[in-house]
Amino acid sequence: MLIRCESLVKRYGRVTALNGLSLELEAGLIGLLGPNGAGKSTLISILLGQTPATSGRAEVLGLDVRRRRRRVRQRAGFMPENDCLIGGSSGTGYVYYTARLAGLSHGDAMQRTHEVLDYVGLDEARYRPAEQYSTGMKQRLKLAQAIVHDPDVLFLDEPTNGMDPQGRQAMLGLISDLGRAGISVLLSSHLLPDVERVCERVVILGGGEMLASGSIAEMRQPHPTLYTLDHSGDGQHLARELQQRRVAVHNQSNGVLAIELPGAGQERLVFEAARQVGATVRGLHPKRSSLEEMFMTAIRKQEQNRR
Amino acid sequence: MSVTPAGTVHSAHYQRFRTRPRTSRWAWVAMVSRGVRLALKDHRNLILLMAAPGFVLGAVIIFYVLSLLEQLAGTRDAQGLYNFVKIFLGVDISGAAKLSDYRLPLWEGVFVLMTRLQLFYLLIVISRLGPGLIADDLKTNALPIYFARPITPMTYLLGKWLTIGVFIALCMLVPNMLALGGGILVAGTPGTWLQTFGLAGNLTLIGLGVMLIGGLLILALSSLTADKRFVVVAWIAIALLPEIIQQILFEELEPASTTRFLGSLSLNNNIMLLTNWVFDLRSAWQATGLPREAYEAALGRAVEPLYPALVLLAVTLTAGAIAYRRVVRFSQSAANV
Repeated sequence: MLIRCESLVKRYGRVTALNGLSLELEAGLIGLLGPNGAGKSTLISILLGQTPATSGRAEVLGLDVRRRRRRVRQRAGFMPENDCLIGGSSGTGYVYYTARLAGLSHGDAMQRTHEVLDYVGLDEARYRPAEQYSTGMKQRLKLAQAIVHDPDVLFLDEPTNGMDPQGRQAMLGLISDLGRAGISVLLSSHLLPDVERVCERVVILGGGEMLASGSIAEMRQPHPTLYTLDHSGDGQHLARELQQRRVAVHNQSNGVLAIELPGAGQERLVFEAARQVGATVRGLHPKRSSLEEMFMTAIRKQEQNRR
Repeated sequence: MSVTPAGTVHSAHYQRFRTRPRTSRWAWVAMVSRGVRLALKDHRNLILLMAAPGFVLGAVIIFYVLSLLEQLAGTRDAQGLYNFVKIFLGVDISGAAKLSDYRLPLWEGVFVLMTRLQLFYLLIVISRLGPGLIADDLKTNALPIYFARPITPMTYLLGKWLTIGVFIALCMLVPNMLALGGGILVAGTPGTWLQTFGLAGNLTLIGLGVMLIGGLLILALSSLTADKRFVVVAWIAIALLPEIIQQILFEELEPASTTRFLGSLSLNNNIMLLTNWVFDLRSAWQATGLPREAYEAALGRAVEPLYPALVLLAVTLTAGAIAYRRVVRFSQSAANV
């Protein structure tokens, strides 16, 4: 088990950041989603053994974060959201220092520093003062320090913040590769497409509680009545014919119609309508919910429950 | 044909690292090593630290003069050297018969003088090297990096304290020890070693005390703000203002009223009073049988050692508690900053 939380509560004075959160996460690439104030950073802080929980229990890699904090941190890497450079260092000096802080010997630290700087793509720039780095380079440097001691689990807080599209793709590629190498990743991000691209599973937090959790593939089950219809022929004519058969047409553009069938398993209505108007059905694809829709649905549900 | 082994640095994919971290108990060594190297990168700091050997040289010259005086005692040539000792150490030993009997209090006097000068030197050194110790980490938001590693607030504090401690030792403890060794060498008599080797313990005690007080005080100040300019101002104010007030009190008040807390306001003065107490200079001079007026100026105002000790203890404990509480707080909010 990668992470296990039991009735985790964290209060800062009158503010409840985590409200009895219980979850179990197996190893892998996991997205941690939630609006601001959902408790994501608090959860990471508790899992790293930095913030003590008000009540409840948390385990990382089977280790109690309260009692075995040192061991947890030896096996975990953390990439914070904000800039966190240690002044006066080059890229190499910074990563080497963090490796030494993690307990690596001088030789191991030096070897790993150069390995991970190569890996994240900081080539000659590694010898320049880190303060002069661009935002993208700083993000890469933060990733390098998080993996220099070869952790088993990585906590990444907004790893693509401020990066250009190319850099963002490269960063997501690195995270996927780390997952393939056997490092579990808990990726906290506001950028849902990033989570969707990289993660296998997702946990949605809201108001300190877990709103949804599960495999992204399972959560994105095809919708039973919503379809995208790719056709040739007169679209308006086809749309009218479909509507006569109680098929709702929500949108049409360039030979593609977004339709909603009157019930599950009624696809034959589409083919009948196409035959009637002499159009050809090129494709009929069930619509899948995007992560964003799932996220919004979860948040809406929570708001309704509160009311 | 060369075969590239799996896991080379040129591999495009991530390679796991087989060697596990051994221990993080020595993380403070990495912190000290980095802190010292970083400070020495600045040429101004290097120049400032290069003044420290001057203390050794100065003390060794005085020890040489004292050994010369022992040989020339009673001759006309010795008069100039007596004046030299009176100016530098504040004692008139021109009436003394056998100068080797005064060796211990004279040497102690040299170290008291050296400590007095070193405290002012340290005021500058600490104001340059200490303020950024924690403040810079706060400014650059580096604390999440420290506290995501297997280090505790105590390890962090130890690393930072030892960083400034190394510089305090380089400016005080090390020069004092070298001066003692150099003095024994230039004195050239076996009796000198026997009489003065005990001073090494006293010098170590004083050096460690200053490391503790100065180091914790600057760490406490540094933990209060992310702007080290405020730390510099606060440090100088804490070190100098009570000193000025103390001087005014000494000028204005009767000596009897300044033997307790009123005589223990200044940090520097308190350290000097305890230095005198550690060396037990008063007893050492009394044991020589010299008339009191011959050495009174070298002893300064008499203050009961309990009061400076209590003041310094309170300052040290308060500074330590502030620094520790702040660092614990930072460590608990590291992921949220």
